[in-house]
Amino acid sequence: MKQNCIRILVVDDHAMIRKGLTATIEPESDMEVVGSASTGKEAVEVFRATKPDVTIMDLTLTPEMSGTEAIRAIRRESSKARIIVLTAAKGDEDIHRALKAGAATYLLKDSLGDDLIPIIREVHAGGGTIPPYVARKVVDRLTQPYLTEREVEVMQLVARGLRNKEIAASLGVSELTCHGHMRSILAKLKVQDRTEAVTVAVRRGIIHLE
Amino acid sequence: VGNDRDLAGTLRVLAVNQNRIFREGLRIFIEAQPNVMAAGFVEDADAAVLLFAELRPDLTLVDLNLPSGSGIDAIRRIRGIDPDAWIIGLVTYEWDDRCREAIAAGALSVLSKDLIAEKLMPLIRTGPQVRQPASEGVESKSRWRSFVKAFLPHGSLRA
Repeated sequence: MKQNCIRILVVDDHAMIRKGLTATIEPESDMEVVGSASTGKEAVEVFRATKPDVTIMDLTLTPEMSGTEAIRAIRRESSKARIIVLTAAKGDEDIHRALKAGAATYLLKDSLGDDLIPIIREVHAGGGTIPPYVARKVVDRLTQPYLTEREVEVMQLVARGLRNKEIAASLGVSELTCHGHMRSILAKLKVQDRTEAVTVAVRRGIIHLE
Repeated sequence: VGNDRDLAGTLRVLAVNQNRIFREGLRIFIEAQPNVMAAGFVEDADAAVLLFAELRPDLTLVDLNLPSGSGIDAIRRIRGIDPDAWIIGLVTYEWDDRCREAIAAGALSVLSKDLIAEKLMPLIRTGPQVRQPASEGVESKSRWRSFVKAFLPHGSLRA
């Protein structure tokens, strides 16, 4: 066992990514992978059992607990938990939610080069550079109108194919109120109709397909 | 097509995927399997076609999520070099219009990336002589199109 090293937990639903991360990290003399998990629930359990210094977390895990929810749960366990998001999800809302949940930084799987190892060291030391693409999306999220929690709920129901009447019943509001939400959503997302709204909401990470 | 890819010998695999961590994981996985070896692992379609021509691997794994559809293009070009080339397309998730395109371009089957550990070796053991249905794990995830058409009538969503 390595001495005084950065203890790392790897969370991803893809076995190949878990293997690849472990193989990338293990050669480093100051790092050790102490656990891995394929679901959010498992991540929280393994975190509790191994108390890693740094957790590398995918966002698209099983529906019962997303990566963002797992980040929140882990940060509740330990406010010192250092978490690096490593995901293919590029939406500004995904990024916003993960950073708000307490992630130290956010990396995209496809653009990751040799920088993972230095970033692990940096995050362990308390830092966390945000890559330019991610920073741009953070600014987008700050400068664009974003949906309220209620509007996100409405969008989830819209995406299931519910009409305004059904959405109103489901949320316990009047049809008129629901119509108002819908109008606000279309304006905020800058789209013409419900289909387009769902497409944009999925692309931005506001709602997710399973 | 006879079984000229001697499965008792070593099956050489070429893989193209943009994600280096994925490539590394896949390489380790493949090297750990009996009678299978990683012949070459590259990150873009052009390199894959060049390396295919040079190495003539027994099996080529092509990521269908390569930028601007170049995965489909790579399949077509590889089949142009060898009309019998055994190619399996790899997909991430919903974007599976590409599954059909990959099969049309000459891939024998398509496999979801999160099922590689369970399904790749059985596919390899089946061999290239049978056109494999498209494909393990893809159907359950092929919701994008139906979602656009019908707003996922029975599916569920999460925020």
